[in-house]
Amino acid sequence: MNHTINTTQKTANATPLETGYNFAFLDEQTKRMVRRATLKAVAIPGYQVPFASREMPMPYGWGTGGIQLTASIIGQQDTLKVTDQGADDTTNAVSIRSFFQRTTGVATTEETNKATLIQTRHRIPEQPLTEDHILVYQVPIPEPLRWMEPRETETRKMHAHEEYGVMHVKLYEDIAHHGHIATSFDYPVQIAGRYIMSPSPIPKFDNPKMDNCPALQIFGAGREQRIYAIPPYTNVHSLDFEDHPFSVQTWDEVCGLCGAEDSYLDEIILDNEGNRMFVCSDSNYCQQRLKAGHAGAMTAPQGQPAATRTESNEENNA
Amino acid sequence: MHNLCSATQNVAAMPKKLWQPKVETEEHPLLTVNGVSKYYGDRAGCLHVSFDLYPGEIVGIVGESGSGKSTLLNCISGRLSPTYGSVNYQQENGDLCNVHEAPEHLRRMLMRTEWGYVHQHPRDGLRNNVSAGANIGERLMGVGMRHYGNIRSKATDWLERVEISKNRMDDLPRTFSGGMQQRLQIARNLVSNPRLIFMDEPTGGLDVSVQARLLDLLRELVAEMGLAVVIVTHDLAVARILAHRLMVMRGGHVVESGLTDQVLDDPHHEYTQLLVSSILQV
Amino acid sequence: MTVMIDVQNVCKNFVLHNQNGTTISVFENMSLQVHAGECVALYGQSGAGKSTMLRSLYANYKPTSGAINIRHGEQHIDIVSAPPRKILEMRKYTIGYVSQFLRVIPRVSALNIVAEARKDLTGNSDEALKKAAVLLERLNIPERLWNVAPATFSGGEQQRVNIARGFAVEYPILLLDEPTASLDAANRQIVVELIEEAKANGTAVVGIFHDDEVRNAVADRVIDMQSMEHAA
Repeated sequence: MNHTINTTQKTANATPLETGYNFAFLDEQTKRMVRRATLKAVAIPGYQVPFASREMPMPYGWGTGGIQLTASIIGQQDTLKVTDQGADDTTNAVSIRSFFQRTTGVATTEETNKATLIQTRHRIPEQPLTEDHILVYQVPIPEPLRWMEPRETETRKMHAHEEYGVMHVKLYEDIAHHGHIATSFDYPVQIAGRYIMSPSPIPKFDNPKMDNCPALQIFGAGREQRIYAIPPYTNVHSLDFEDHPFSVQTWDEVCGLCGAEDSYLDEIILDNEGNRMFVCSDSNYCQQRLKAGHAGAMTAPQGQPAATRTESNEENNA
Repeated sequence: MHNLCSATQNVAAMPKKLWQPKVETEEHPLLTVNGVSKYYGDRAGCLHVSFDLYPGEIVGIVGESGSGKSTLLNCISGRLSPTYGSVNYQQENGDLCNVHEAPEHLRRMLMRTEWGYVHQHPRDGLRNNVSAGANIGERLMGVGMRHYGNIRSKATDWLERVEISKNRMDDLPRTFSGGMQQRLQIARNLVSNPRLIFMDEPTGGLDVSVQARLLDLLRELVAEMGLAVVIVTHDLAVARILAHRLMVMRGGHVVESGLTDQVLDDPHHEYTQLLVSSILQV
Repeated sequence: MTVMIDVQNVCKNFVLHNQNGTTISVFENMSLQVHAGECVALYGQSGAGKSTMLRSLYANYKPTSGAINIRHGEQHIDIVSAPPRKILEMRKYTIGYVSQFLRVIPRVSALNIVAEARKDLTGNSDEALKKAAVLLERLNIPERLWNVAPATFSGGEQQRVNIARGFAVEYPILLLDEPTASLDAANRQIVVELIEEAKANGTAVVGIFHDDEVRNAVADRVIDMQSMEHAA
């Protein structure tokens, strides 16, 4: 959690720009192809547009769909933020950020409000997005009907004819077996009253943020070769039953670091005794709150980093 | 002749001791099959088949394997496109629908609302990765039912109607016996109150005792709901119990058709005579 | 009296394709009229075509040529050429048939077998079951058997269930194929009474009675099938 305080950095200083590659790695024709697919996706909200996904210099599952989207829309003047499960400092986020630093030289940031382009894996930032943002999601399995219907030919027809009964069958099964809708991430949504869409494996906590969002949201699945989108200010409805309405996760705890009561919390096991703490999954949001003077139960006193205290706890126990 | 309500009124009002038939209003056929032929390359699956199916009527298609009965069933149920001929269906709203020329969404909508299809192997007709309750509830959710409690109570009713204990509701179909799976498949089809059911050897893979129970159940449900049924079977005993009339097929042709008991007790065609005389007497 | 059944020049051949196309001519140019409230007995030795005639009247057999006009409500309809749907309608409202043997359906109780046709006709299940109970009682079927499927019944019991079934609806036309064959004297007498009551109601009855006593008791006319054939 040792975020750099100077979050906006001109990468030309930090990481040298690679030579021999086109701006943002992909060639211009490929970028045009991806942009055309993206435009179609924006024109038909929630519809999965097939595109000729390229081999990227990293394995499938590492966000190749999102990277191709980002590469095809990023410009010199953009400021890029890359986040993985809400954190900007995990392997996936760091390597993708570094990839774009080396192939574009654009500015990067960890601050949501300073970014113009945000590539994300499995989270939507806590800070409300604006019309100045574009949010790019990495998607592993774009087809929400896949769990019920394995045939692609059939799921395409089901989308075409709006045959969405089976989506509720899945939720029905949840309630029948768990007493409530137990699906807690990748929770299916209906876009603008038409297409049912997988929001990628974000927690359902984030679903309400997609609804009527001022930012453009685009989704890329590299291996599955699909792009889809939610245009700004689009109605996004999380599927539910009249007697089992959609609801988001809640916690009895607050963030141990910043005391936030309104953010999505990760549980961290502290030691072998089972001690644990809850912290904001969105690391930047947590930082901003700490800077603004908020504090939680486990905030290190006198500016001492929280991690040190965790370490000393472990020493005491040992 | 299926409007029991008006028949009851007639009875109440009738001074005579003997029954008088209700004056038949001219009914329109539910399904009109016109000159349907299906070729697989040079080989004919079924040839020049025409018939009308009226509301509440049960037609049996009998014949040996390879006689074209399944091809015919698939053609008239819209699962297969005939090479020649047409099939027209009168929708509940009165519109006539040319089954093979109708837009696909309409055909698919009919298939999961006004029609049902009972497969020989329940595995083909069930959603095997979800519970019995979800299997029954699917059609309801498909037409926009969004109240979990109501869906569940409807599923409970239907489990009872097909004689499956309601505490099996949340179990997967594969934990059921063959007979139970077949009854579940029937419930899954009937929950949407269809008007027309296609059945392909519904008692095919079952033990004789299980067959009898299923037959009886089918007979009751079909009569109760006034369903029109096209049933393919090679079992003449099944045909006799369920069907009002029969079509006997051989080599893709309908060689004889008529009232069920007439065809079975007074067969005219050589092949029908052979078929009837081949039944083992117990 | 109203003509209920009008048989005109009916022929019936059986062609046995699987036995070298042997043709068996059962009767030729048979004509017969039956009026409301009348009982006609078909008579003749085995093979004379009594049963074939009776089954033809019910459209269970299809005559080779000729017409059988049945009074169905206000209409006269030729049951030989009528489409299956019409025949089923005629069987539902107009023609009752008591066969020689009961065709049992697995799992259906005696009471329900008897009540079924009436229930179909009226849509009133309770009333039909009451009527069925009255008939079963009258025909001396012990009440403990009413809710049992008749597959295990004795021949006489099955036949009485079959008779109750035929009389459960007051059909304008009733066809009886040896209804008293396996019954004792007491039960035979009850069947005679049932037939008499039906006739009094205006039902046209056609029957085959191998028992002279019963035939003499109920028949207004006896048609000798043998002589009919010779006459033809």
